[in-house]
Amino acid sequence: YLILVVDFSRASSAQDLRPNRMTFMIKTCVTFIRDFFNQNPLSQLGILVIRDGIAEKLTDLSGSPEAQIKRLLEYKQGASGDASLQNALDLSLMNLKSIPPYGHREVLVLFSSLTSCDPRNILASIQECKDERIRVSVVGVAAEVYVCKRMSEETRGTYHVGLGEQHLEELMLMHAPPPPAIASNTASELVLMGFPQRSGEDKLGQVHVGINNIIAPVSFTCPRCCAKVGELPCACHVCQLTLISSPHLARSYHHLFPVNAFKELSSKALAMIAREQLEKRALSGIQISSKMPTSSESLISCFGCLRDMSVAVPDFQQQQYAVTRVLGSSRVSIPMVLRCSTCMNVFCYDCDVYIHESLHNCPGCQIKTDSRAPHARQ
Amino acid sequence: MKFKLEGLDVYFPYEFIYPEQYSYMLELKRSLDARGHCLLEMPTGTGKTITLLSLITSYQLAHPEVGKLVYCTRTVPEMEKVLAELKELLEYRSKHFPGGAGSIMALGLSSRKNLCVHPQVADEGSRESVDAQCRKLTASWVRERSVSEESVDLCEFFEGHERAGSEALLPTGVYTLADLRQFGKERGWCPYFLARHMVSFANVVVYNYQYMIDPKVSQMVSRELEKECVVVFDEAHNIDNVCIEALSVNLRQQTMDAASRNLRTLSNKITHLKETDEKRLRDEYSRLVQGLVDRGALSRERMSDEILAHPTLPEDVLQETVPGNIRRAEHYIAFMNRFLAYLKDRLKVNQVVSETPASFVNSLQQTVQIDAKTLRFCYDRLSSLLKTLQITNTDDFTPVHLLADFATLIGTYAKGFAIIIEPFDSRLPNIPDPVIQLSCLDASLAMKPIFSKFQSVVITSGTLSPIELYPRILNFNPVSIQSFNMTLTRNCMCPVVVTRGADQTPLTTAFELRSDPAVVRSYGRLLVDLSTVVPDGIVCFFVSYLYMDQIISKWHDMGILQEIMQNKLIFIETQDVVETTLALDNFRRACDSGRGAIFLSVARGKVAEGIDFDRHYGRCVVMFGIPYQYTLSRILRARLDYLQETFQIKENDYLTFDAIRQASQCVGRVIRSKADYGMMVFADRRYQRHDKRDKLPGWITRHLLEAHLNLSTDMMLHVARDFMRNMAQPLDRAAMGKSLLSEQAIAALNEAQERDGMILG
Repeated sequence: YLILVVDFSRASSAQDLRPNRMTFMIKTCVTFIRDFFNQNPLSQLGILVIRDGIAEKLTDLSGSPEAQIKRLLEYKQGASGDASLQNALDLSLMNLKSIPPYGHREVLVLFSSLTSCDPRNILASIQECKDERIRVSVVGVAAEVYVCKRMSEETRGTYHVGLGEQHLEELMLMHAPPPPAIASNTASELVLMGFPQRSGEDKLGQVHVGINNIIAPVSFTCPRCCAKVGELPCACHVCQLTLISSPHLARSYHHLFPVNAFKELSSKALAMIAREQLEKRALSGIQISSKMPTSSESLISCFGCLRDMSVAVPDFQQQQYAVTRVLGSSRVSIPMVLRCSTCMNVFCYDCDVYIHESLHNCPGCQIKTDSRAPHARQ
Repeated sequence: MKFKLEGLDVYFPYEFIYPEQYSYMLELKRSLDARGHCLLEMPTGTGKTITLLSLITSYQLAHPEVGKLVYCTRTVPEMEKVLAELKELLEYRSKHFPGGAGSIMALGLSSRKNLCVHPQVADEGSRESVDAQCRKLTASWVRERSVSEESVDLCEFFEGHERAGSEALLPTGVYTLADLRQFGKERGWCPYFLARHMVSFANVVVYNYQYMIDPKVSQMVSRELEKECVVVFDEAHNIDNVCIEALSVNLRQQTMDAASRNLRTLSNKITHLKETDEKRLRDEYSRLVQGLVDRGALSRERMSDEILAHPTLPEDVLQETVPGNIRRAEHYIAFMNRFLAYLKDRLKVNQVVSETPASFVNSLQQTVQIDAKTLRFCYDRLSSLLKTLQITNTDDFTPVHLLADFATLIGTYAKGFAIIIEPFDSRLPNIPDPVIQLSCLDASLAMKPIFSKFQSVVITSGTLSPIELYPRILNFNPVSIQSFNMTLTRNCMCPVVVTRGADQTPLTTAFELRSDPAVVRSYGRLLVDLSTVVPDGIVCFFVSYLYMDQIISKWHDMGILQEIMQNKLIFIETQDVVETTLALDNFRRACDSGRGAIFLSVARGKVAEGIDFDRHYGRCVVMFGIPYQYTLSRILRARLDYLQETFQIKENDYLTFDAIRQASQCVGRVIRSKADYGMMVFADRRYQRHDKRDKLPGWITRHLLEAHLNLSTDMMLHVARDFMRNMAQPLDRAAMGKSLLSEQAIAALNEAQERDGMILG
């Protein structure tokens, strides 16, 4: 659960970002919201706006990106007045207090002002956030402000200041993937969810959809109350059931249990593995052709793509080098070799990137659990 | 870490050392080897104090013949800081010497006010009243009387210390003032006298400048220090002014009135004493006749009886008996009355009079028949009299002390002083406020005995530029003069020179332009603009209180203040200490809570000298104008003439030097460590000129890019915005390591040097 606080105080009318800070901030927020829901479809997001010394709620916590984006784009009041971080914090606190304990409570402030004009001592509000385990992160548009730094430090959030348009956007998007779950202190709880059916593929099936009764060709039907909603994920506007599709669930699941970072192997460790492999092969009686190891015979290969990685082994390097020289290729790149610390399988760099950024599963570990499962059943 | 520095084992309490600290040590060690004085400049935030302490204590360890380290600081908080660092050093050293062989005895010495643990006395407000209260309880005659009378109060702590006598010793270690108080309370020993007693045993003594420079105080405290001591003056950029103040006396109308009241009281006491106990007066008289008034005979009796020592310097005091005409107490009072009457008469002038001491004494002789020789003994005679009369509440007698001070100084020195009588303050010509100023013009007078007495004197500060001028003003020959740079991993300083406003009006506080509304408005715009781009705290320095008041009221009329208030709160320094402290406190709170604030203060004020605006308290400092001294002041004129005559320092050179040193002191307030960052705005077109810019310390000029000179306000704004953004990026700890030297690196450096030496050899 994340509350996005956007600062539309006087400072946001400055022209240092093109076309001006406010327009740019809205644009960035839109990108961020899309990305955020893309990465965590299960999450909910609400938007607060601070201006004129107060904080006002633009949208409630909800799971539908488009509605939020629309409200944000419709925001036409312009930037004015002072910014009050404390009011924003208090309002976020009120909103986040009621959410179930398994959810992350996060506040992301896009702060363009350099001052915070508060009714009371802000440090008290920070302390309250800390007590409620709310993580407050700040992305600054202008410069480092001490109170923001302190706030994010105390609540274990992050604080960054953007250098320019590009950098700012990067910083915002950095907040889109959720932080890994703190497994120990979140009590698990069953959550009621509905998996609605998509209906109305053809033009004839147009129905009134959603809370606003828009006529739309595609709709989803809530399995509990048969109301039709326009998009997923969202909460059913009739029975408040969380509606979601299964790919969403899968996608947000992996963020909670990310694949551990693989460790890069030193050449020494590699040599050891190579030796082990040699011994193993000697036992199984496979002959090693010393002249030219082919990929099928290579001592170390990537578990993912079976690429030959024995070049990285120092003992074999020279040999290999000689071979490549014979072959006429002068390029010898030593590949980075990584190993998963759970299943002890070796991967090449490309596979590592693929596993961590797209797959979110370690194939080695998967195989192990699969093979273990039947045993467990027996 | 422990490393070798040209054969000397140096114990440094931290894992890494900055390169500039290393070279600082090297320079310091060489001048210690040469047994000479040195002048070292190193920017603030580079750990000057710990470098100094670590090297000198290591040097002491290797060369036991070197005496104490006497570390002089300006303020009590600085003193505490030094002692805290020393503690850390000692802790580290004890790891290398488990047997306790390398331990140090170090203590801070301060006034009774800071050290007293007596429940009632310590509650007294001012320093003088604590001193007086203490004397009331500890003077020798009071104690004698208490033997016979029960009702006389004594200080139990002092008694405890006295009983222990010379046995009262501190175990070795580092003692801050609080530690001393604690220790005193536990043992029932008076911390003040204990500290005084322990000075002769300590390896490191930390105290105030005054204890070394002011002859009145240094006579009591520093007399026993041996010749081999190493004396360090930290933050010594204003040392010449301290020297001058130590030897200057101001007499106002009120002081004189009070002095005459004092004299009346004294004469009453004398008549009273004559009736009751004439013997004592006779004793004193005979003692004076025998010439025993040589300070020792009187003041060495008891430490607690000391009131104040002689205001002039030891070698200038004649070893003679007090002249006959003031030997008798009543004669002395009459003499002082005459002198006072003469001064009062002189004070009635309508225009400013400036005289040399010689002509003043001459006219004194002609009108009231007082000669220089008698004047010279005024001070000794007064302290002797006070002692005979057993007066303990010395704080009431300060005016007459001042008077005697004045008399003695004037009788002793014919050169290097000026007497200036002003009927009113020249800035407020309508209010009569007559004052006689005896002002010292030559800073070297007070420093001379220190330079000649001690083997090595180290003068160091963050801003000593231009460094060549100091030896000339203080009249000494240092063996090494060095200015060090700061190695930085990023450009955490951003000095800019702003010369014109957005509408091209020149920015300056030159006298003829400073009240021009266009200039005032441009300055205002500058601040408004800055307040929109700089987060948290901004500090501004004006050239004088007067100018600040003017400009603030004008800004108020123009509505500039209101505009600033939208972005930041405004706090103003006033001449009232309490008010300023309160303002500072609220300023800090405003910065902490993110409201942001601007502190308006004055160069040469309390804030500019002693308060740090580190981290978010000072992200930007603005120097409005060049803080020249008030050039029409008579004292300054007299001093300038004197400098020109004696040291061939050009008037303009000195003025600029003084102004720039103040300016760099002001802007240096914002950078207190390497991780810190801050912007420095010099808002005056005159900073553009080379003669001004060259006088800025090297660590500022190095960061002063060509592109940041001669900016207009809007250009400056861009620079500020970029700088603030860049500095807000997370600090790379790994990059930080580049400016650090580890033990190995130093070993390598040493080897390289040896190799170089061999090649050269």
